[in-house]
Amino acid sequence: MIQKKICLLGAFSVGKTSLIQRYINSLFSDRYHTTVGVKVDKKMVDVDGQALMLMIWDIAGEDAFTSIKPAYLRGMSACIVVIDGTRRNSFDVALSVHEMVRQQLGEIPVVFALNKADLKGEWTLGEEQLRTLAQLGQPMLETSARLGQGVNEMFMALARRLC
Amino acid sequence: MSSTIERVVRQRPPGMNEQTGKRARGPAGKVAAGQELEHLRELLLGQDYQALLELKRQLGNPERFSRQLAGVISEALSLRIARDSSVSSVLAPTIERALSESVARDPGHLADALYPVMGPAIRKSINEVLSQTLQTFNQLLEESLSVRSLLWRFDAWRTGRSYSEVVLMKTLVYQVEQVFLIHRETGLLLQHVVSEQAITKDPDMVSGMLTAIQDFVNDSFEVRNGDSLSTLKLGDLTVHVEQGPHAVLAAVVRGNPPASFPALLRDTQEDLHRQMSHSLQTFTGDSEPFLRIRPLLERCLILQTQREKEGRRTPWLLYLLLAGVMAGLGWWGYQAYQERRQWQAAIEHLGAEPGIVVTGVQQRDGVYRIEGLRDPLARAPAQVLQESLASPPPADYVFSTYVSLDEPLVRARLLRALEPPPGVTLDYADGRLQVTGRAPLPWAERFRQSWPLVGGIQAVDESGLTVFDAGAERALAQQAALERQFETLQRELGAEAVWFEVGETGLPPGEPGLEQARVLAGKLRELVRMANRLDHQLVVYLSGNTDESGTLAFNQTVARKRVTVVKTALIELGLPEFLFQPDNGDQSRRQERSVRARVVVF
Ligand SMILES: Nc1nc2c(ncn2[C@@H]2O[C@H](COP(=O)(O)OP(=O)(O)OP(=O)(O)O)[C@@H](O)[C@H]2O)c(=O)[nH]1
Ligand SMILES: [Mg+2]
Repeated sequence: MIQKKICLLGAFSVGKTSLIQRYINSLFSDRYHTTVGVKVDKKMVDVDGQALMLMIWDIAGEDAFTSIKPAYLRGMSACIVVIDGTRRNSFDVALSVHEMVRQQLGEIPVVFALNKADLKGEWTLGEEQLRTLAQLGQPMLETSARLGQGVNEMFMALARRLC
Repeated sequence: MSSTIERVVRQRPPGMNEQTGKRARGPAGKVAAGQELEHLRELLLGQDYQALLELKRQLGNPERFSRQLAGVISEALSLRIARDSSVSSVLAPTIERALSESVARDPGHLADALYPVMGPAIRKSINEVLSQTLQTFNQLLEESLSVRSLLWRFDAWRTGRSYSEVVLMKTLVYQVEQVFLIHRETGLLLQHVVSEQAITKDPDMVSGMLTAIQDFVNDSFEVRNGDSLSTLKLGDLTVHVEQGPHAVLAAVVRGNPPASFPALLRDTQEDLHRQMSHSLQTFTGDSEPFLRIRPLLERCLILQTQREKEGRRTPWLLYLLLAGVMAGLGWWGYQAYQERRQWQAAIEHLGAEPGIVVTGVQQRDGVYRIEGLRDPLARAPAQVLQESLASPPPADYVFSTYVSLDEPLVRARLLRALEPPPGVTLDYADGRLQVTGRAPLPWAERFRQSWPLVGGIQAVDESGLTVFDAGAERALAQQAALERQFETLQRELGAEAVWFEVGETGLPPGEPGLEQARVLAGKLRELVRMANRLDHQLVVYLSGNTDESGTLAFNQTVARKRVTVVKTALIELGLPEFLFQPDNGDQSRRQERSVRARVVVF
């Protein structure tokens, strides 16, 4: 069995914790409890018959006062950068976070999650931003932790790239 | 107002700022035409025109305009902010730039300004992070604990021992419950061993969180290179962390391990790195190779049990003692209650005792103080209490004396004051005293004087009392006895006689006649004494006797002579002369030569 450390990164309140909750426990809550520090979870996945254990680090999101601690990123094999489609700012944060990951860890598998897809009507991301993201050469998925849409697929996409 | 200004400013043609002032001083022709136009304007617009010009001048002069604007700028900003968020988006880049410029120039200023905010914020954040991460960690461990306690119960059920016994047996001085080998870089679990009794939950997550905590600590506090977290403490659980270049060895210990334990961890760590150096450096998530170092880790699962560990053992002795004390208290309470009840009953009983009135009972320091009134003839209170209480508690009796009219007391007082003689009974009831029997007179007299003094007696019934005078009766009896004695003596006297020889009429000395006279005198004296006592008048007759040998006349003379001789002798012997009556010469005894005496009482 192979274990891998993956991290969920992004701005605060974009839905990192929600995505993990949805993925591991199939739960969703409208209430927002900001993550402090780190919360580690795990999930066994099966990738083409091979068992893979994902150690999922839910890292406190970046906000005006706290930036992601590089120490937490050490040793991670892949990461999910979450963007809140309804908040432009989270897109900017995603780009800077991605840059930080690249600098610290080199080219590792990254997936961009465009979260809160259920609120598409309120999305502020334009074509331009999506194109910018696409140019980074990493997969992007629309997800909704609320509906469970795209969540499994996103984690599986990442898992597949780890084997 | 502000919007008007805005519009005016916007509609202003470019360059007007500089031109406004110069226009007045233009070429002459233009000036004349201008003046006309000016005039016309003035005519048309009047004062308004002047005001408009003034306004124009104000706008044209940056200084004046600024001054004007200064008065309203904050109001304008707040109005705009209320309408939309454009102000913040316009200001944000500027402020950001200003801040970064300030920091670039001298970070000290901003740091100083933010210091009061940052300090508490950081402290709060650190506290929160620590408590939350520790809590998560703690929860994981605690859950494994509750599982373990379930196992203990199961164990107890299976072996038929009591749960506390099992707990007791499993109580430890210390035990290394789990050892984690964690890849330092990724926080992934390389290997994990658990002691038999301990049960663990999700070592993978524990491993991840432990790493996260370490990362957090290293990142949050300025630690020197190489320094890192070495222990975490949660209740009686301690996590000992031994850092290595590529892996972290973490041991979860319950209780206090020996001082040599960190050294054991260090040795193990070194062994591990020696043996697994390559695997550690090339680790990509496959923990398979690390299976073979399990024995190394198991070496660290040391423990020491102690059956007698104080802290954990159920303190049965203490419980027993407590139960004993409780029982004792209960018993004591019951006793006290009983005692109180008995005591109360006893006090009531005491109050009911004739001649005793209880006016108050106090208790101080376990000693009772009983106050009241007591008739001197009533029984002692202590004695009364003894009747209702086997052993009355110590008590002070403070009783004042009084005279009780309770019947038993009146009766007792009667007996004492009147002392009825045997044969007399006193019956007292309802204030009436009944006296019955035979009583000697003196007592009866004393009784009549004394009963009113006894108190409580309203009437006396003497109908059943016979009074007798003992002294008088005795005197009579004495007299009768004397009388009898007197008579006897009289008879004895009759038997006595003074004898004479034939023809003799004298009592020559040395002859028996004198002696006989003396005997006669004794008897007579006795009779006189008795007669005195009997209050009798007494006369003595002496009779002379002769034999019949002589003549009658001679014989008579002899007889007379003989009487005279005896009479003289008797008087000489002390008898008073007046006792003797002249004898009538009766010669009752013809055949003897004697003188006899006879006593007559009149
Ligand atoms: N409508 C909708 N709301 C979502 C979705 N995902 C998350 N949320 C809500 O967004 C808020 C923030 O979610 P979190 O998962 O706590 O965000 P986070 O990224 O973990 O935030 P930090 O821990 O502060 O960095 C919560 O109120 C969620 O209910 C989603 O897919 N759709
Ligand atoms: Mg969160």
